[in-house]
Amino acid sequence: MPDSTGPNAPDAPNRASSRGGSSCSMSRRSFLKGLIASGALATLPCGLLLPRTASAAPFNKKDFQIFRNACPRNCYDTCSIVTYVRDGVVQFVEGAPESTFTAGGLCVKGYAYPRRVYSPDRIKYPMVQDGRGSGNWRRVSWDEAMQRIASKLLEIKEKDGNLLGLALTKYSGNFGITNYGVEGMMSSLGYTTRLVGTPCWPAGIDAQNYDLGDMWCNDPEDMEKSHYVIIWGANPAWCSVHSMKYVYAARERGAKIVVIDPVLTQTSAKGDVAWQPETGSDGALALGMARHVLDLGLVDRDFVTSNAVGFEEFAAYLRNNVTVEWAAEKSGIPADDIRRVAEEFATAKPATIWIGYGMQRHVNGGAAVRAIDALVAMTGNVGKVGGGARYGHLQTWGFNYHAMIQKAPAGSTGFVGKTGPKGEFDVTAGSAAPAAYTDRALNINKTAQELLDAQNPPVRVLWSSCKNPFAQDFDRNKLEKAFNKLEMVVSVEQFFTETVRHSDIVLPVTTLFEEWTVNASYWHYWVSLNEQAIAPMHEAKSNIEIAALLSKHMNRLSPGSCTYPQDIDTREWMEKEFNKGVYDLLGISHWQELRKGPAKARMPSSASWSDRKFKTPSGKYEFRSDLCASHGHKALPEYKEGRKPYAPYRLLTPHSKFAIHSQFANLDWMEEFQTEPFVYLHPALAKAKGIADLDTVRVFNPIGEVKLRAKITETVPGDCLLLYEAWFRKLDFNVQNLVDDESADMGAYKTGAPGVAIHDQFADVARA
Amino acid sequence: MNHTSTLPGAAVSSQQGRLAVQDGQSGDTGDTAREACLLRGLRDLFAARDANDLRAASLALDACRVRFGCARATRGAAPCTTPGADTADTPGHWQEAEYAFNRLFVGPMAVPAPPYASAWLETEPRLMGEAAMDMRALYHALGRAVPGEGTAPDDHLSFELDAALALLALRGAGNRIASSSDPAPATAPSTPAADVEDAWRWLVAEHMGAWVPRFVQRALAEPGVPPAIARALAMLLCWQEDAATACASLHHIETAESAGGTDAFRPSVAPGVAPRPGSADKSEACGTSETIGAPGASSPHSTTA
Repeated sequence: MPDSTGPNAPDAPNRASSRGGSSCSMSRRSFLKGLIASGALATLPCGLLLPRTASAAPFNKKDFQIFRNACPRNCYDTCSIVTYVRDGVVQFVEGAPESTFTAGGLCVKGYAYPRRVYSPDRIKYPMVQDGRGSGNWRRVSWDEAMQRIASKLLEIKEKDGNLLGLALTKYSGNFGITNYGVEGMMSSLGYTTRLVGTPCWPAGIDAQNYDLGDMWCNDPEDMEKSHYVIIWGANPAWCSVHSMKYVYAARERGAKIVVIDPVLTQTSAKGDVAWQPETGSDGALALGMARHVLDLGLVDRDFVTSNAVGFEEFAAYLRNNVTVEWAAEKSGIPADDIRRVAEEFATAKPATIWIGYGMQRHVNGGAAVRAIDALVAMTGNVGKVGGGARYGHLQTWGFNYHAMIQKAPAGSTGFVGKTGPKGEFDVTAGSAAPAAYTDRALNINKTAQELLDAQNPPVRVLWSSCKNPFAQDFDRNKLEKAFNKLEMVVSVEQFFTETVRHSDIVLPVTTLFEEWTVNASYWHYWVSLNEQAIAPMHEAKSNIEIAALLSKHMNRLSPGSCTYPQDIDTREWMEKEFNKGVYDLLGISHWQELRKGPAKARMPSSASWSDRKFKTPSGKYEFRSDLCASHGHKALPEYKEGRKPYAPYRLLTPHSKFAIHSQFANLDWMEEFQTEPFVYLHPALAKAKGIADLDTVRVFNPIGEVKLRAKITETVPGDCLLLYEAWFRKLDFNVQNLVDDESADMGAYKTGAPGVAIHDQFADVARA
Repeated sequence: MNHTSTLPGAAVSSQQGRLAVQDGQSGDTGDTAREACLLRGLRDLFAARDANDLRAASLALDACRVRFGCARATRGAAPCTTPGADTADTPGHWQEAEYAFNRLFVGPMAVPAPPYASAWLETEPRLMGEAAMDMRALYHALGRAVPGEGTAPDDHLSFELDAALALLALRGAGNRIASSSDPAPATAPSTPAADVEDAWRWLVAEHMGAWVPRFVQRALAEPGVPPAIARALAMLLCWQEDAATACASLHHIETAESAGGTDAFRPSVAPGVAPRPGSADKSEACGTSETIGAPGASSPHSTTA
């Protein structure tokens, strides 16, 4: 099987044409044998080629080595990968058949992984830029790079009396558990500044924590047992392709599929009902449906009385403040349609709502998620197989975080004051004893402003890893000003992003095939081993190897200045992430068993909250959350107004099918589909603006502008401009020229900072 | 060379005999020394890590010119400039050259001319493709390997030039063997000398011929290529073209002889290799005005200082 199926199968027809035919290969083979036999090789004048050791593996065309890998990207699907290696080279990848979720197939991006590892564009060596943004780069050794960084850190520590002048910006570029060693590296240096929070999903996380006591979704594989599926603000046909099979299975068993999205997406096209509500009106729509369910007497009385608190108050709010007509007016969805879907949803048991991350990226996003949770709960669908308000979970993330949990050097001083969690994956939050000093937290969603404002000390050195701030952080023009203030920027990267362009030092980091780690999903329940399949290409090192090397140089210059171990083995460090809890959850006795394939968590039920024991203060589902009120929000899931427009059209910047945030879009296979950015707009808007298909236009608002070509499509609402989030290696394009850092309503409770209202943005358009 | 008598090459084929003659006509050891000097300089230049490496390699290439004269392959694009004219030690000169070198070949930005064969020979550009495996097999046949095999792509230009240097040395040894031996029967089996010739022809004509011209012309098309790098690129192209042409004319004689045919014009690349765009355009980077002698058989006087 292996050597006949891959895209680089040995007898692929394209090879002969680029090589001059098979006769040449024949003659080459004979001369190779002859050279070895001649015995005249001892005195060759080679200056670079070393004598070859006999231990090198023999060339065997027929054999592949097969490795287990996992896609570490910020994606629902976190695919379990099987990697085929020949001659120490990744030849092709497949989805692991052992995972019923991955089910033997990857997405279009995942299949492109060999293009990433072997891209000629990859950053190959540590390099130093003489003059940030000058393009004048010098190649340096790892030792020289680390020496420069270590010297600078000791200099600012001396100047400031602490290391708060060193800031880390890191997010979801690599979710392999050992990559939390970057945070560990920071801790091992002392108390530092951290850009905390998450741009992606914090409003919804907080909302579910207020309602249920945790973010915990059903197993997506049990969606096939749903009798009614509402996909609300997610586009799994593009962004979670493996989930679609469960949606289809549910429909084959008679379920109706309702897709709610302001844009007519590929998922909408596959649904039975596609609603295109006003962007940001989701809360009103959910509350209108709830009012109709209440009016029809379809409330699950047993659940709301035995397993919930505050339902009667919520019901009173609905009766006094919400009508279906009001919801219809807010959302643009006809009242009769709202009534029909609400009734169908309430009577089909089990019924489920998939709450997408898109719909909570609003100033009222957390409130909207609470309204949807309430609709699912009042119809008795929480805790049910095939039911549930599905958002995400962290049930399978109970690793040791050995790489992450490091001690500050003795005598370190830092920030004094209030602190919170450093993100949704911060396992140390609340567990450590109160310390005299802590890290300083800055809001990752306001990175530019926070870097500009930080004082005593200012942020002097920024370390960026698993993140491309210029593509992901908001208000690009302000970010450029903030970077100008920094004394040193270190980027750990694989490609020359705009962030690397704004760096002083770039360090090449390994891909998933070049390091050992382990990966869990925030959506499904499989855990995958990630084996090192090939030697790191060029001079790439893993994040934890970089930390170890920095520690070596810190301690050489100033003994005791860094506690990070100086010699590490990435496989050993992967092993150290496992514990009995993880083994028991997965039903294995040793991590080696994962070499046979990924393992799935053994949960009591595919349904979350199947025992109705909620983790809220009351232990019940909280229609009324006093905790939520104490955090400055409403106690009830009341409607919250959206952001006031500041330009004529709504600006949406969702995910493309060919990228995950800023990753993958620069690979040649993706560029074939997505060669350039476009702004998508409705024919009526195009006509009003005198814009023809493929005209070059300016999209602009108070914070910046982009110039690009227009595509006219009826899939986008008439008051909306849509640009996909991406970066292009050959183009100077950045959607963050247009997206400001307005906060979402929730997120600070569980992730340390509120989310960002990515879809509450506005802009104008004109022919360029 | 005490192994001479044990080599099967003691029975040298008629083709090999002709090789010895042909090689003798083209200047013998003088040509080999010139070529080795050039290959060493180019190898070191494309393996440069910093300004000092670039300076040293450029000066070494200059020295080749001083020592062996302004032959086509040691000259490059411009008319024979005074040695040292574009390797001046003015302040910042080599630093600027290093920045430009990295923009062209190293990174961290995507480079216009990646110095890896696979980047040019794969249907879809990538590293560690079949070309890298071909080169790995050649190094292994030579008892060699790249440092950190599996980490450094085997088909980096500097490794390929190092292998060419090795084959050049083996050719020299083979020729000395051949010329000291009796003519052999035409039906002789494959010999080390024949294998070396095959390997050389494959490497310089077939393999490098398929990518080096495109690589050089792509790099030279970039704005602001420093003179030392432009000259090295042109020297590389001229060397590759001349070496390939020499292979082709040799191969032509063999073919014509065995087929009993008459002389006919042969393409400048080895048979079996599809001509590449760029390789036909040899005048642009190499220049033709001062080409001395027939392509591939430069006159003896071209190798004298």
